[in-house]
Amino acid sequence: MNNQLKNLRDSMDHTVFKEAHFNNKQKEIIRGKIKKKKSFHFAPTVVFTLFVMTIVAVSLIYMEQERSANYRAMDHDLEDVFFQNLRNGPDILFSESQLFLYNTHLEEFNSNIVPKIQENPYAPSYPTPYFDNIKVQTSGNMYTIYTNNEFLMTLEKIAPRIVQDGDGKKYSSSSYLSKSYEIKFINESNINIFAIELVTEDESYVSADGSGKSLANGQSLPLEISRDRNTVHRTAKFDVAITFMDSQNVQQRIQLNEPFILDNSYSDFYEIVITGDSYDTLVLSLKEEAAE
Amino acid sequence: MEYLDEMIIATTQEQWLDLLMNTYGEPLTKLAFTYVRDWGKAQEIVQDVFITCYTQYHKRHTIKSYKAWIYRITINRAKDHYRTAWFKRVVVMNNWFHHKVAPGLTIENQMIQQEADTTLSHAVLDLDAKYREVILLYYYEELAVKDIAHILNCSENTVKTRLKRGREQLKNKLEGSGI
Repeated sequence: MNNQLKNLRDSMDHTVFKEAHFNNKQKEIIRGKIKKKKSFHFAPTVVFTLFVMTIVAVSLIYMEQERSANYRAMDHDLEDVFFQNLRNGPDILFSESQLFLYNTHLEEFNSNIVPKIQENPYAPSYPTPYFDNIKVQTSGNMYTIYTNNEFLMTLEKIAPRIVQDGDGKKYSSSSYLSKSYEIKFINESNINIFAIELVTEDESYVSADGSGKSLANGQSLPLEISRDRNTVHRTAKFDVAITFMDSQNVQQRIQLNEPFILDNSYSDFYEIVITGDSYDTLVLSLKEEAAE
Repeated sequence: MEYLDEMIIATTQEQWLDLLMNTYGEPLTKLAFTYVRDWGKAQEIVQDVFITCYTQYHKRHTIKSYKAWIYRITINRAKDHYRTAWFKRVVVMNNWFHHKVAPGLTIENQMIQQEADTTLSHAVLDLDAKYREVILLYYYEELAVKDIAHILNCSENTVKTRLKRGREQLKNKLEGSGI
């Protein structure tokens, strides 16, 4: 047996291994696969770099927009809103004139007023502190909150969904706080504008309040536009129709050729200036200096 | 040792790969074939092996036996391939055995020798995997028991036992076929 096996190399090379080939074609295939693998090896790095750059760019734009946005606190903004604390501190729920504190030790909530305690049937060891008879006063972008007519805290609106208390703690809600935003038209044109109508794909908003009040030169008219609280930041595009009085004091209605694009639907109010010497040269532009 | 020196001295990764392919390309293809019984798959395995080697360039100074190292990679890769569920053991007998006439032999003797070679080769390839690999490494590759133990990651005694049992199994097969 041993003798036969000593010739195994010859036996196999002449028979089963006769077709064994490892030629230049094989080498080229290997080099090609290595080259492909090498280029793919860098792909994740490139993709990651592009991703980071995109995030940075978007963040810069976002920050720029946040700086230039105008916020206003409005009545009922806080109704049924749940705020999650962005650092250590309580989560807050406003509900039916009550303010509930969750996930907190009371000492983390800076208040001279002792909250009431509501039993928690699901976790008896963790009752829920709350304040009742909550009233909210608004001024500018500030919410001042009272309980039983005693001052409890202030919240400052610093982003569409974020407020900050007097200690600098930030709270975030899942939906927009404002239920609407305001566009204030300022007429700096020579046209005696009676009303402005903004038309989107499925909604129409008219600035005239029905009182016949006109938007003469130097005057302004507000237009309140409702906002979906679950919306995401997006550019608003409006077709604009203007009703004005002509020189014979006859009411005319024209539609501007160019739609008005509000490239910052982030703010709670905007000032839009109307300029032009005649009705066919009217131009709408966002008043940049209104931004802070 | 000469190869080893050459491989370490080789300056670039590409030169190193070329050296490995020139030295081991064909032997590794044969080795892989003994596991998968298909030349196409054997070539794929060897391609993977050299790609793996290419990535190990930085370790070239630490490799003591290149043959043992690269055979071990190939055997592991072939076994992985063999274990996969989709692997179908298809043996195309017609392509295995081609007649090659050795000079100096009569036609009749040539036919007898050819038959003996094919029967032996066939019998070796039909051995259980654990016996087949030690028989091939020992008799075909002419590796020492110590090196085989290193490649297969087992003890030298295990290799010796498998060699003995492999020979016995082979003897029974060949006796059964009348050779």
